[in-house]
Amino acid sequence: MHKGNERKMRNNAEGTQNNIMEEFQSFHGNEELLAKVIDCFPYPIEVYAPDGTAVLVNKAMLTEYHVSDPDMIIGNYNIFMDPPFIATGQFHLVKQAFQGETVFHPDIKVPLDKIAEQYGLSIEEFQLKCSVRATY
Amino acid sequence: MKDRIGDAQSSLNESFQLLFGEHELLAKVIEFFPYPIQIFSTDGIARMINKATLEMIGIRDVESHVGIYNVFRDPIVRGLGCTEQVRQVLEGKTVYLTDFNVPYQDLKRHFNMEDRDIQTISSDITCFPLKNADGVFEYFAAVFIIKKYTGEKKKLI
Repeated sequence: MHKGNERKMRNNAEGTQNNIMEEFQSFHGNEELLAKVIDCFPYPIEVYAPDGTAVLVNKAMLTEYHVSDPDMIIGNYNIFMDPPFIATGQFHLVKQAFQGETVFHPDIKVPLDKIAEQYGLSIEEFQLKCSVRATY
Repeated sequence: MKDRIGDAQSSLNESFQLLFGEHELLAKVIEFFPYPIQIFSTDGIARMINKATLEMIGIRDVESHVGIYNVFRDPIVRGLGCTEQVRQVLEGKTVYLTDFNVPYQDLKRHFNMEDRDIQTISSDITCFPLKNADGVFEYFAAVFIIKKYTGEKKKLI
């Protein structure tokens, strides 16, 4: 093959590859797409500040617990001050997560009646009790 | 006193937002997520993977996967009869694959994988579309809840 054509083909292939690589796999600059992943994530996600205050929830969290207004949770819910959660005896696991460990917490029984009571809602507004697995 | 507590809380939240803009915070959730997450363009090509994807699935490096791997052409997914099910995500559906059991040697045969003493990776996989404000989507994501490695003593659930 003519050397000029060879060089052209190599440059085209490298250019295409560079375009692909440039377009993605940099977390920096793709925050909007990554934010969408959390927003559209089909499982509940809640993010806490180090003092235990909820600072972010995704749509699945709001849907799961039939919460229409995220402000009921964000800035208002504190996992360290949640009596039903403290009563599960798993407080230390969340503390471990805040110390930098990934903690797997299977078979959590969510006390929907106590949560309903805490928010001044009736249990009918929580349509079903659920058993969940949480990762902190 | 209640007002003072409320003010303190608002101040903390503001500080948190300043430290991490909301999008940056959400990006960090993905980066540090303890389970593999992959983001694909609608042609099926992997465009972004998190650290857990490399560590838990055993892919050697990002470069041998991102921009190269195509889930719709994955012979293992096809062999397990799941390709058409995954394709349903292109119709805007959330797709659940349970007990997706992959022999590690098959992964090694087809992809650039780490050498590990594993027979099978067993996981539940959820694929979901990422829609923009207009309801149109150009990407979808897959999260792998890895339940068990056989051939090793480690179990995750």
